Amino acid sequence: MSGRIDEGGPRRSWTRIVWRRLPGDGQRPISRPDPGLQQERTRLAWRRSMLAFAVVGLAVVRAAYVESVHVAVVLALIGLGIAMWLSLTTLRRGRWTWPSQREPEFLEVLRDGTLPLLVTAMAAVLCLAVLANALRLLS
Amino acid sequence: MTAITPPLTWSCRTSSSVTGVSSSKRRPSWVYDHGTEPDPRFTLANERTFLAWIRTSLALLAGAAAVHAFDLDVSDTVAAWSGGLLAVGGLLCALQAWFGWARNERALREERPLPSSGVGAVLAAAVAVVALILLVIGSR
Repeated sequence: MSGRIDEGGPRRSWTRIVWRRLPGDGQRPISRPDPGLQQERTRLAWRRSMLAFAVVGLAVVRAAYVESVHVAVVLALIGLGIAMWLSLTTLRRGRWTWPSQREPEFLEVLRDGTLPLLVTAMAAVLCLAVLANALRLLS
Repeated sequence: MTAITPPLTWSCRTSSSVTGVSSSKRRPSWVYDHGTEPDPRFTLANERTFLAWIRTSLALLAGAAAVHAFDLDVSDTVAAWSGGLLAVGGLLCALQAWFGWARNERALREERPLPSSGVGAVLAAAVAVVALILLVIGSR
């Protein structure tokens, strides 16, 4: 059954999108492994960036909690929502862009700027929250 | 680009006939409406550069938060100014992360040389100013 493309179709759900079988799964690689392990390096870079986000985000939310509970709750909810969305999307991206070290195959979900834009927006929100606090202290 | 041409098995430039793309539109269109798909390794490297800028932004933000959290021996005004300046630096880094990524990706697609930006210099200056403020005023 390996190598069969699941057509998706009307039964599309998140679990199916993330975990479904891909062409090339379970087959031996036909080309050399990537000497630079680019895919893995990128995945790890995402992971440590998101860890840094978690740490700094928690620190900012904690600091905001002292000043205003409402602001802290809003920040935390934004962060949680985006984190859930990110974890689902990165699973799909990690799997689909360069499956099993074979020739690169671009499948349905192509890497694009949506995720970077979202991450940037999240960083900008945190920066603005800290900036607003600094301005409040000045006035 | 010729210096790092991959071996034949890695000729990664894909034509639309082998991509099998049935997909949605890729955003932003001002990047993806131009040029052709580059070697995926370059795309991935560009993404890591983006993430490095994001982490720089987060580091500055952590610094800004630390100025308030660590109860330094400086006045509230000084603490607010340094924290604010660091937060602006973080914002700048985040913007550079996104726009740098997009400009690089477009340049890769069009096989043009990568663009540069002055954000690094501005950032270095801002961090130096904050360090000076804290050193000079904090040590009095």
